[in-house]
Amino acid sequence: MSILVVDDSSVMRKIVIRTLRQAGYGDQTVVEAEDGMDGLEKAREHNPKVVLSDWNMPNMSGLEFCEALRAEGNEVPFGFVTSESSPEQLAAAIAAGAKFLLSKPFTSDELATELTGVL
Amino acid sequence: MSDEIKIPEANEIVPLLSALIGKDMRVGAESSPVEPSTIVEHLTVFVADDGTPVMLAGGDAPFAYFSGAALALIPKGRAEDAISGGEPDPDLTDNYREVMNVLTRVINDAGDIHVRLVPGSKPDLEALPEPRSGRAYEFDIDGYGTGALNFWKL
Repeated sequence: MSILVVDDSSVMRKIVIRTLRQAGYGDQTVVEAEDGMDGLEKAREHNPKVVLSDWNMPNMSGLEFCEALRAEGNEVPFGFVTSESSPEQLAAAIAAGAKFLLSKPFTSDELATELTGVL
Repeated sequence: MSDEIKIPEANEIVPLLSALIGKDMRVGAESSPVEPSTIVEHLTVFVADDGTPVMLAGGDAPFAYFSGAALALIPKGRAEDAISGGEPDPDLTDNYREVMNVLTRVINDAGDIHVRLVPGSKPDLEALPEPRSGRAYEFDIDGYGTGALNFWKL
């Protein structure tokens, strides 16, 4: 099983991966992507079991990435991890097909709770 | 609208930034902020949903480089070199930008106005409203050092 982590910040990808380990997912293969476009290609290539994506990214935003996956018929569980969360943003995320939106910084327990619900 | 923006308290900042950085942070002195132009390379603009600039925030070089180093577990010596050398360290600066990105949540949690960070560095201060009031906090990042984080209401 692989987990796709998408963020234009390499340090944030490392933090998400570290938190995945702390949440008990250290034995999973993690694939990284640096923006939505890269994420789309990696999703097609690796067929991940879950996607964790930033919201604001160059080339293709997280929202556009989620919408593009759904447009291709890819129903992979998708969660956003973002620093700016609002009710409107959560609504947009759900409408695009995401399962959850986590606010940075998040704990391993919070991540585990969300992943238990989708995996 | 700017009257409703709230500068977060130090005890609202510490838990979230500590959780992000993975290091304990201790609050030191509170003071008036420095002149924004003196730390322009580390400044971040926050705008309301309608695009109105409502807050300016930024760390001094020690805060920027210590937090940037701590976030990625980069040895503090590199941060100290950047501070004393006066030359920007791109990696530490990128990491510091992530710290400021997460600060968005702190500001949103603290007040009634929803804000978002304006990407980029070195904002054009002359294009912004004059800062009206502000506050600065001194933070000590465990294993790294002490620096100041400044806030201004616009």
